[in-house]
Amino acid sequence: MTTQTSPSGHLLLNSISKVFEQGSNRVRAVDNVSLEIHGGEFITLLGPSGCGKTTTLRLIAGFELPSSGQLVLDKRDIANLPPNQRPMAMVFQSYALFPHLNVFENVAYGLHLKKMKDNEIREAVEIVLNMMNLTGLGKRSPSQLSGGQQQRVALARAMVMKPKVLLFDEPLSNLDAKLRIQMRVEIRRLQQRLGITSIYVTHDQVEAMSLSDRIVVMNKGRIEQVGTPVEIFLRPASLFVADFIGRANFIEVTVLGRQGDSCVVKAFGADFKVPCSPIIETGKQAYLMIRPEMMKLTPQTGSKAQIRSTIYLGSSVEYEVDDGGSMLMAVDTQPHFENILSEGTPVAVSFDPSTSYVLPYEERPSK
Amino acid sequence: MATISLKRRLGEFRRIGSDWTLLVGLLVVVLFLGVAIIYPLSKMLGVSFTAESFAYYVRYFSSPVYQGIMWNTIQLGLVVGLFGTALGFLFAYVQVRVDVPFKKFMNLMALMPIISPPFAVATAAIVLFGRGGLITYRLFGIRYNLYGFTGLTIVLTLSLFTVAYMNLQGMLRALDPSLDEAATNLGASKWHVFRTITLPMLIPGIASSFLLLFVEAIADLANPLVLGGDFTVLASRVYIAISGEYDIFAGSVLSVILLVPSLTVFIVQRYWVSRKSVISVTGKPAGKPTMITNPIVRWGLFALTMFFSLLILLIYGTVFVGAFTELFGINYTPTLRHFEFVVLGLGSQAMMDTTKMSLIATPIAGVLGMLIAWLVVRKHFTGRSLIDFISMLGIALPGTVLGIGYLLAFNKPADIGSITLLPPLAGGTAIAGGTIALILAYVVRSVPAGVRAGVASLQQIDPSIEEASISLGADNATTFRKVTLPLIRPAFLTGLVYSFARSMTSLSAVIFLSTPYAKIMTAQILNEVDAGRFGNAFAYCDILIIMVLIVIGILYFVVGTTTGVERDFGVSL
Ligand SMILES: Nc1ncnc2c1ncn2[C@@H]1O[C@H](COP(=O)(O)OP(=O)(O)OP(=O)(O)O)[C@@H](O)[C@H]1O
Ligand SMILES: [Mg+2]
Repeated sequence: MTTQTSPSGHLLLNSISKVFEQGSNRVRAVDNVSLEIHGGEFITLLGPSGCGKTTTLRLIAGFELPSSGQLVLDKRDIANLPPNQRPMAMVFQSYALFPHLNVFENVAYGLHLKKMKDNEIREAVEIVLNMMNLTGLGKRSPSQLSGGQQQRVALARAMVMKPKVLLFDEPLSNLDAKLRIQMRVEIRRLQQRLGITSIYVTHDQVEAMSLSDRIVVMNKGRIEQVGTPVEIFLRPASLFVADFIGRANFIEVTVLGRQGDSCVVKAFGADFKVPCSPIIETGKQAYLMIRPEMMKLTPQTGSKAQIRSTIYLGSSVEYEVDDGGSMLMAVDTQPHFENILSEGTPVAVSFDPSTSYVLPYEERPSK
Repeated sequence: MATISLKRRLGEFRRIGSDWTLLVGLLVVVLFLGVAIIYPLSKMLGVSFTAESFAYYVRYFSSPVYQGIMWNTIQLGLVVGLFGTALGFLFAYVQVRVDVPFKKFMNLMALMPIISPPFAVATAAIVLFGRGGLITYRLFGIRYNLYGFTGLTIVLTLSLFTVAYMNLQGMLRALDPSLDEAATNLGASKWHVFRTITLPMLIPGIASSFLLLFVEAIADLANPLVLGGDFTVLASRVYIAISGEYDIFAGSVLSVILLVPSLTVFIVQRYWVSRKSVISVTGKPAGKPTMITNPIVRWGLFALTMFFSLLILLIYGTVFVGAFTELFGINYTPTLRHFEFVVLGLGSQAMMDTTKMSLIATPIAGVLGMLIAWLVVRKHFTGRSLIDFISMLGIALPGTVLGIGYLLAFNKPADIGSITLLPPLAGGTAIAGGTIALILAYVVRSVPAGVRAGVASLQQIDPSIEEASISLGADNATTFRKVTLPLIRPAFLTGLVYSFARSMTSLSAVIFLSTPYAKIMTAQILNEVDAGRFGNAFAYCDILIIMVLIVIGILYFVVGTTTGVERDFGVSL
């Protein structure tokens, strides 16, 4: 298992759509999705509930047939290949362990189907159980394991098949917070070691950021943006992405000018040069996105901006600022005992332009 | 729009075609339903909608005698539905909500009818409560006339209430006790809680039970034949038309008249009432329900339930003892004569034939039931709800209707032009002496119970467990065999047990199909009862009950070994 699988597992989704029909009801769960996933890449599908993440994953696995579009794995169109013939293995949210088989039999299940010899199976299963810290648990039945152990068995069962593509559907959402972080690290470590192309569905942005080479942000069946975690966080392509990944203040501004990748905008009574989306033109309306962590508040008597509320969280302090009617969020990530601002303090508002971004204007969807 | 839909259909075919196991499974099921249900039913309907048969409709609907028969049928259905549901509710409520002794015994008595042959209750009732009955005449000196509406109502209620009992017991157990607690917390009295919470939540279940009992009561043949007296119902009239008058048109037309209320009520129950239910019966108890503490209510309910339990015990006790006495009610000399007749003598052929055919039908019905359940719950294809519905017809159709259909369909070869698709399957001259049609009828009658058990069980099993198997490289057939079937084994077992019990005890669907080479026990019992040889009838009943119990025991031993899956899923019989 320590040898790398061949650097295949290159997956191409070409204009894939999936329409569910229930009587006269038509749900376009996946809408014209195109995506290239490189061999060995860890990619995350991220988005709110119902945006089509699971459906996309099940299309890749073959549990659903696309209504239109192509699916190409290593130059081979697999859109009509039944799921059991696809070189992929899926890890399910509910673990989906076989309750009537013990841990060893669960992991060995797929190998038996490959008609491997018994001693080879035993060896392969032992290795993967050791790798997953499950040594000695082979005889247990799934119901005798903790949630974390069950999850690891599910992972072992998929990994032992040496698939070209590993598929994960929110595999950690049934674990408690601490275990989730631990398993996150483990999954990433294993995936990098084995170099298996992995597609991971989650609606937890922190999970997505910490695991992925690239993140695919989905909304209503469409792809909003594909990019590295840094790109997604600091250079969101749309209001939706900016809003979904972390928190942000959005200030309506007019673009005063463009200089290469940056735009000049006026905010809080001053001009700033801020990185901006390539499609933004001078003179147009736009949004200035500022992450709360990038806001700077300095006490200033006579300023029209005032602290509205202060929430002390230990490692940080969250402020709500009333800037002449519009509300802003700010987070001080290095609070000192002396500089915590109390409610009602008048403050001057500023921000770090290099970590902010200017987004194209769009009608804000009502919340 | 149309093209997209067409493309989707094509994709579906491609998908089904590419997975040959699904294709084969579907083909087997469609073929079975087509040959065993649709074909005979359409034959029967064909005969009943011809020019000749039209005159029969006119005659029946204008004749006061036949109007009376129709009214009798409906009346019996309504009254048995009402009393059966009430009795079922009483037993279920005591079982779940009242803390009294002997609950296991009461449960056992309520379940007795499942394995009981037809005629057992009716015959015992005659010797206990009839004109010369042990209780009525010997004890109280009353020459009571049991034959007719009252006797039928009592016997049918006692024979059929099990359906309501099981249905309502499941619902009562699934009822969230925190609802009761919340209401009590708000200051409601126990009676008030019962009236405003428990009862309204159970109304769909009660309605459902009532309708199911109605369907079963109007389809019943055995009891009207033995106990009807002057009180004729459609089922017994159909029997007379076929067996006495050899008038296939009369039989078919009367069958259609019986079919209409049966099917209507069945459809209303299945597609309307049962969907109104707000309680989902999962098989897992919802928690500890609040018990009835008021001593008057508690012991009152106990006395009532105990009375009926003892009555049932008395009846089956009579069935048991009656087989060992010369003539129960008149001559109580102990004898083994009746058993000799059934086991060693002239009666033994029926016993052997019925058992053999049931043993063949049982595994077929069991596997078909699970297969249909699996297709219906797990596989998405056009027409799956139709498959579900047609498979349920096996039980929704009155047995006599099915029997006539079989007679018409399988007594002659099925030809298209000069090509024979099917040789004759029924009748003494058919291949295997007509056993094939009988086995087919047994399977058809048994499949629905398996399908329902399988559907209920599958709905509780996370579909991703099967998807995990497929994702690991197993095809549909392997997944079904290695994952699905082991997980639904309790339901499979239920299906097998019901199938065997049903086959051994069924009468109405097969009575027209028995041949000299394939005798059925229940038809023999009818002969014995008709001839007044109650001892032989009781011996048949005893042997039948014992055999069903033995096979159930063996099935549990073979299929129900211990992996704890049953416990994990909380599914049991
Ligand atoms: N089998 C189906 N039949 C009909 N509609 C479906 C089916 N499966 C999914 N949908 C619909 O498709 C849309 C996308 O569902 P999907 O499960 O892919 O969302 P998701 O992003 O995984 O959401 P979640 O985060 O809640 O798991 C939803 O509107 C859903 O209701
Ligand atoms: Mg999902």
